[in-house]
Amino acid sequence: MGKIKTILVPTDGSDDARLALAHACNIAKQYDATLVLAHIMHLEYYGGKFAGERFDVLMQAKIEEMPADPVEDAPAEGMNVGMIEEAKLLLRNEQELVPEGVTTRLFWALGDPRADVLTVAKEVDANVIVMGSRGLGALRGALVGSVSRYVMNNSEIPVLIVK
Amino acid sequence: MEKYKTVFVALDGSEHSERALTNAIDFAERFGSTLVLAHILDMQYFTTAWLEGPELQKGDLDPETGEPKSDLLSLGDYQRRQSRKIIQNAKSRVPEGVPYRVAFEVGSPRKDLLKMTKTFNADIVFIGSHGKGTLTEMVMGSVSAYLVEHAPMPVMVVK
Repeated sequence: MGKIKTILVPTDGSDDARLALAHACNIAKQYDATLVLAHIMHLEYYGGKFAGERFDVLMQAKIEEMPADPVEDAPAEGMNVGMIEEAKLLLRNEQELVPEGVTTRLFWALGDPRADVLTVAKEVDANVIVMGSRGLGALRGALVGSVSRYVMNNSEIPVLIVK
Repeated sequence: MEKYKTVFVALDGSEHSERALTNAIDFAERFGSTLVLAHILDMQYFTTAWLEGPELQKGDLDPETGEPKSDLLSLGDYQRRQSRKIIQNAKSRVPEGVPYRVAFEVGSPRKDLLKMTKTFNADIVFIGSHGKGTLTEMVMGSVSAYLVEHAPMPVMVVK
């Protein structure tokens, strides 16, 4: 990690993710680091929603950056318009929690919430990943969610799991 | 959460824990925190060593240092010496102006480390992702995974 320049916070809008965001903002201010918020949707999970209508079109896994400071978000294109709009809205909501003066980048992705955290981390050259111990998808009773566990075990950079 | 007053770093002499220390020092400098250099001497080594320590014969002592020759050190002595080294090394790496405390105990690297984080009121814990690769670690999973599950404060797992 050395000097922290870029902090990645995967978020699903849960309370745990917000706590992670609060810690990340703290650290970003102190290190003058860039904050990267990433919302990753599960391709399989959302795929089912659309398979009935347009089963001939495969939904493509993708990772996209959206402008952090838009006048207006460009309308989403393609068959999965609804979920992309939702993802963008979620990111905007989380972005509002970031204090002024912290440079922020926003990513949404359609794919695998576990693996894509690491993909985004690579893409933005993150020095640390800050995440909650469990997100919305965690099983009741599990102390550490599966995504956090996966990222912790497979990341090449330090991972801060907040409580 | 606003300020990380106490930055706790778990040390076991492994490469990962070295990097955890580097990061913890940098972090403590930025936030003006107090460092806690924590090391647990694994009780398991110690007890077996007590039972099986070799009996020293004449000529087994090194004439220069007066200590048993290194290959004749009991496992317990060896571990104690390692522990001293680990703590000494950590202390020497803390830059001037960064206050620190040393926490040392013979016990379980899992449970006693967890207890220590609470005793010292750690606001954040730094730990290497993998330890020294002991048998226990293979069977029970890494100490870092245990801390992440059970510690009430944020844990930074360093690769």
